[in-house]
Amino acid sequence: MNSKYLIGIVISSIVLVVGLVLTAITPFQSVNTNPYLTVIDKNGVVYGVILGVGFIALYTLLQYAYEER
Amino acid sequence: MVDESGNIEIIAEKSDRKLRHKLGTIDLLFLSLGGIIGSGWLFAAYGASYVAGPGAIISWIIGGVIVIFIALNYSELGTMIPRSGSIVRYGQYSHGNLAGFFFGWAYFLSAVSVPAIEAEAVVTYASSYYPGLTNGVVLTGTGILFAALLMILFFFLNYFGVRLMGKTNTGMTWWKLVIPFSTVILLIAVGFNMGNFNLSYTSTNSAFGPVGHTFSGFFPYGFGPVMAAVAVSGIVFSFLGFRQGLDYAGEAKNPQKSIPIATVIAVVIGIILYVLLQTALIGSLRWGSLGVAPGNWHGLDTSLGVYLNGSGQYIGPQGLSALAGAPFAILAQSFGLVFLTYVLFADAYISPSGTLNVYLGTSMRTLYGLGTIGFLPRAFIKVHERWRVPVAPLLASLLIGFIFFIPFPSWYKMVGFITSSTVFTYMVGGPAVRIFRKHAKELKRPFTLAGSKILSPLAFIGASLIVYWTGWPIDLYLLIAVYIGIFIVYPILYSLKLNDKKIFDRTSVKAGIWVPIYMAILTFMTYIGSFGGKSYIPFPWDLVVVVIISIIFYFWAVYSGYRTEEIDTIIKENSQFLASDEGVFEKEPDKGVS
Repeated sequence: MNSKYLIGIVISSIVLVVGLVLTAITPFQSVNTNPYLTVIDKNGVVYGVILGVGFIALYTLLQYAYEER
Repeated sequence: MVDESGNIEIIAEKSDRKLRHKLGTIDLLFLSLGGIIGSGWLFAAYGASYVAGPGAIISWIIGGVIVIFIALNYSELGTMIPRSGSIVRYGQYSHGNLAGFFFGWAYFLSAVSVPAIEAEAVVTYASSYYPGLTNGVVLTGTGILFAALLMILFFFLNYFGVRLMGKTNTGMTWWKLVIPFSTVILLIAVGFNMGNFNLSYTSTNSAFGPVGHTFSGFFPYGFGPVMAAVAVSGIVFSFLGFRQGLDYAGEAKNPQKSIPIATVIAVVIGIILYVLLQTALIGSLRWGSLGVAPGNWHGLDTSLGVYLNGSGQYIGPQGLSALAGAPFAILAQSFGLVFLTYVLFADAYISPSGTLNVYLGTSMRTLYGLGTIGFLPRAFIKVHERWRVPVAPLLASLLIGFIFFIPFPSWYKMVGFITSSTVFTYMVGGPAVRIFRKHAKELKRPFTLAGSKILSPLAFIGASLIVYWTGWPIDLYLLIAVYIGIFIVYPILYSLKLNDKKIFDRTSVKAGIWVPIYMAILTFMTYIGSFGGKSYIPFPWDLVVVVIISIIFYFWAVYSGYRTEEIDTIIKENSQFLASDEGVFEKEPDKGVS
């Protein structure tokens, strides 16, 4: 496998795992008696985006690596 | 790039060959799915709920089935003449210049507005934790600026070429499949209430229905709103992603095999997913927290005057506003599904961004397609030598997309217009199949639609009904926008010698006059019918009238088609299937039409 894909796959895997863990451990900022008005932690959204970007990057790189093979 | 004095069809063919043929079946399937699972999954189920109540589940099936009829017809067309921006060319190929310009202009209006609505979706979800971005669900100035920046980001992603875009889209679409299906499973597992499908509500305010009238059951408002929801709440808008496989046809490795598989399977997966999402959303609503009486489905619409003060500021229940801005994320939040909530808010960046990415490319290809048939300056068919994308159409798509933020500053406001303008262009698909069977028998058909004598008129009638269900006054806006294209934009382009085509010549008018007449009649029907109009013809008789009119116009459309100059050139030049300059185009199959 091309080394640039290998490095990319390793980095994106780390990003995916970090995003996954951080999203999972982030609680809501405050809980309201009306559940529709509970306040979320904005960082949780950022971690979720990191998780998504890691997932998409990993999938894309795996696809490139597979096609090259 | 090419000889400026050359024949436009020959120039277009040379440009078509420059496009990279890199996309496989899975790429095309995921491009279609990427279009289908965009902002529609974030908002359309909620919008359909307040239009039709639980009956919205049926709306998804109706919308999906009609779109499959349309997609099947376009599968034959798309594999027969695979070109980038192909949808915009078929009206030209079957009915000449006047009809070609009508359909091209309408499709252009829809294609350039989709990136804008997807950007609006991202911002609307973000307003849940950055309240300054919206007022209710309408974007503020800051929100519009944020949306414009998103579009610029994806402009550059498209600029660097189709291969990168296609590959990132496949990963993005896997993500977009996993998240909605997970949402369905979790919401049904933790908060599903079957009672929500059979509620009863007696109206106490005329904004929600006649005072004293009781609305109950699975179809609280009858079957009319079930049909209206198909058009106005984003249902058909969601399914219209099927067109991606066709718009990228010129860049497919094996369009003959890939296009029908990609388009039909994508719509079927879409129907399954959206029916499940609609069911999960309705079953998970908690009326007490919303501040709306149980069963008051119309009361879920935050744009009702009863929720706004004199200056248009939202003053309704806060729980309702929160849910309308980010329906599935707020539902997950209300059940304490912390991880899912964050992933859904994150997905609100990823899903619409993926669709924005795809449609910015689609919009670019639409302009490119209009350029190839001579309706736009030749700069629009100039393909970048290195990146192999048409740059002028891409830049124009971005800039024109910005304009749509002004008249339609909210997702819910823009979706009906896009639906109507897009579906209007699809009307020509059914007649075009029959016309090419008669006047272009020489063309090979890698995919031949069995039963087209039935399926072609069904697609035409279905598309007509969707345009009709969009209702008054949205269809009037579309009529005005399209007539502006014909009577203002075209003459300007022609007088500046930026347009090669005469659209008012005898042949074009004879073949294409049915289009403006049909459009005007459908608009008039919305005015006198029961979908936002005066109900002079009540439901369901207005539908009967529209179906009869559409059958008449279907046959008029079929009999007015002819062997156009473009089809003649394709046959004479033997350029039905174009090989890429890069030589990666695969062999064409040998299959004629019976």
